[in-house]
Amino acid sequence: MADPTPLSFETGPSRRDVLRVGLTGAVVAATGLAGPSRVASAAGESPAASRPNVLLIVCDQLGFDAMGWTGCPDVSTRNLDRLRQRSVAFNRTHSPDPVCSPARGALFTGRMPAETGVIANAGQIRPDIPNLGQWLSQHGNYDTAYCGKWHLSDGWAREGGVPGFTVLPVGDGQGALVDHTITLSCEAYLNNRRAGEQAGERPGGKPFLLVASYMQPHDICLWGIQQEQLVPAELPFPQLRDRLPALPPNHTARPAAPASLDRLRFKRFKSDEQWRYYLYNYYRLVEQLDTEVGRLLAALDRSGQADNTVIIFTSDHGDGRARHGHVQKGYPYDEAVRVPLMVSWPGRLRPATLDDQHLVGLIDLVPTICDYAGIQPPPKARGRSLRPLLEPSTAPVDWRDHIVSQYRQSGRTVRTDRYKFVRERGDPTLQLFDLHNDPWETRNLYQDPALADVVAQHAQLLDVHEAALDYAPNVDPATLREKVEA
Amino acid sequence: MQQLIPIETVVGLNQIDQRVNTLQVPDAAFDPDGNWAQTYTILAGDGGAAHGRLTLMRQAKASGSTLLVDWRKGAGGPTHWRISGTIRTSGAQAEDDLFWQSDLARYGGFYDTPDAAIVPTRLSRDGEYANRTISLRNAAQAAATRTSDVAAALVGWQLFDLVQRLPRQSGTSRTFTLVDQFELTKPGQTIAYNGAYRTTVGGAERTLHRFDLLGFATVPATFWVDDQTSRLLAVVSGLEAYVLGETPRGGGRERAGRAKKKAMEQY
Repeated sequence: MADPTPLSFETGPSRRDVLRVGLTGAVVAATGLAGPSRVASAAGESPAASRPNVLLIVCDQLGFDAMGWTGCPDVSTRNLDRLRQRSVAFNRTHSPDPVCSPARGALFTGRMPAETGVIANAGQIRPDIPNLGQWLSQHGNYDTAYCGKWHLSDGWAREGGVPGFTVLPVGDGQGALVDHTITLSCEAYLNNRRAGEQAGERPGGKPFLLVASYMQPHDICLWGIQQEQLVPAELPFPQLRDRLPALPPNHTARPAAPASLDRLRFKRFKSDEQWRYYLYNYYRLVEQLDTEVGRLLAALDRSGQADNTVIIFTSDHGDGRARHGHVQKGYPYDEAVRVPLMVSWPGRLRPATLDDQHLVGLIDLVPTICDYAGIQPPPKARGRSLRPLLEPSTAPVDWRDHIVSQYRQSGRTVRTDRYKFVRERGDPTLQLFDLHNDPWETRNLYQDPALADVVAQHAQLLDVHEAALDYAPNVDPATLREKVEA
Repeated sequence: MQQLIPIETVVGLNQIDQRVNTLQVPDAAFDPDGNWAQTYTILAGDGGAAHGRLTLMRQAKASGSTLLVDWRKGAGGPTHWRISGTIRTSGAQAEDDLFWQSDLARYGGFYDTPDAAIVPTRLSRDGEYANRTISLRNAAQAAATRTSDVAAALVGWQLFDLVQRLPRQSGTSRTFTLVDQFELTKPGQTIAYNGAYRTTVGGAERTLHRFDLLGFATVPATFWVDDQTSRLLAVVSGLEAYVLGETPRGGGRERAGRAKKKAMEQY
């Protein structure tokens, strides 16, 4: 598999100028590009000698292609676009389960949801699996702090409520009422660390792991829940009529699907205009997130720690955004499963690099962070360190050829380079999509006789995956669903 | 006489209809160009839970004005975050020659030490808009960051003041860059007049003027100004609402609690 293409920029292009990535993942255009960047090599340096801080920015419900730099014409994300210029951006990043709690349980443990036991919202990670904060504070001598949405036993991180982390409390409410206090709390944390270091109160240069867990653009859920008020039949702001985003090309696509996916489809919008107004609001929430990320990154710059901080930006899952007639998440289509992932470390990692080839996932973050912290990942961590994909190297990287996600407890998805295969325990309808030729997932090919071998091969990949899992006590391996108390 | 429109069908206000039904518009004389003070309850967008309060105090000057802002966030309980600030204008227009300074502080924990600021978390900001340039500074920053070629600017909650004095004529609009939260620069904002509505507020029929706020990073919001008194009664977006008057702490949480629980548990 070829290395991703390194690209770099001169200075500060607008989002219109930066790399455009089509839905096939192909590089469509790149203007204002300079030659390959000079990046200091970390080769030969012992991990422990250069243990960086880690700023992990997790947002909620941000689609993989919902930012300006991805070519989305409906949103302006100048801060995320700037972050992308100094990052390795992965275009094939998969959520282990496109719902909040299961995704977050896996993100913070490196284990699949069936193993953490968090296979539905608001579950708790089984106690014998450490989370990232516990592992890094106990084995990596890191200061670990958490701010914002947790949603593993509770919606918001509360004091004492996130094992392994010092919680920076932000209060309650939806994102609009919380996200800015997340930024401010993180800024205060960074300021306090700096003040402590200047006062000599932090001997040994103990690095930090700071998690900024933003709510947006998740609040778009309210536009579905309160549809009658927020998305009435008549456009509430007629002056927007000419500015509403276009519907995606697969809006009306209805490939044969397991029954649960049909049940999930959103049926309350009666007109295209309602769908488009939903999209309009979604992108404003993305812009709100973008402004907060910009403020946070500016605070990191001011803290004097930016050069020694790995920044990881991602989301727990995406949003339907009218694709396949869906809003929100919980199903295996790309709009829900694929998430953004950008990783930067000035001078150490490749800047302005689009990795359009490797199949990576949120389960890779724990091994990656442990790698940079100079410690082994927790036992049985499923993911792999992204480090070989992040640092300058001409050597080919031996990487996985498939990645598995789950959905709604008993659904499983395996993605290979070309295909996506979907299987739901107890449902006879399978799905197979050729993502090279059908990136919008409109044609279910599982009954195509010419692809019977492909179906069988992918089914076997899932079989092997499931057989290797260390199922949580609350998960029934026979049904893949939560055990029902007798 | 305009036709009476049920509050449940008025865009924006239908999200906070229960609050509007109990809203008592003060009878006292009100001059939007003069000195005044108003307090708003901050609600979640579904109109239920009280999440804090905003107090604005305007002091008219010979030229321009000073607007004191006290924004307190607390989940129906103790203050959690407080942003206090001063916005001074020295020109004839609200968006001319602006200067602002603000202090942001995190307060004691959820369940203890109400209204006790945690000193190490205090952050300060100041900035100005002059000569078509927005300059922003904070205590940890040696030099200001500047945004130039800005045709017009408004700061934070200054809109709450300005909207009470905007012309109430169809087609009237004003475009500006918003300095949100005293530091987030959001270009391309437009506030536009969008008609008068005869509806019921606090059990009495009133005429309200609707202004729409649209722009970058802004969920569409409606501002509602009382025709009779020129007071801004409510600001509503999909995410949050400000309603004139103070709500006792902890009040009105049930309905929003249900909506939030549903949102969080399902998704």
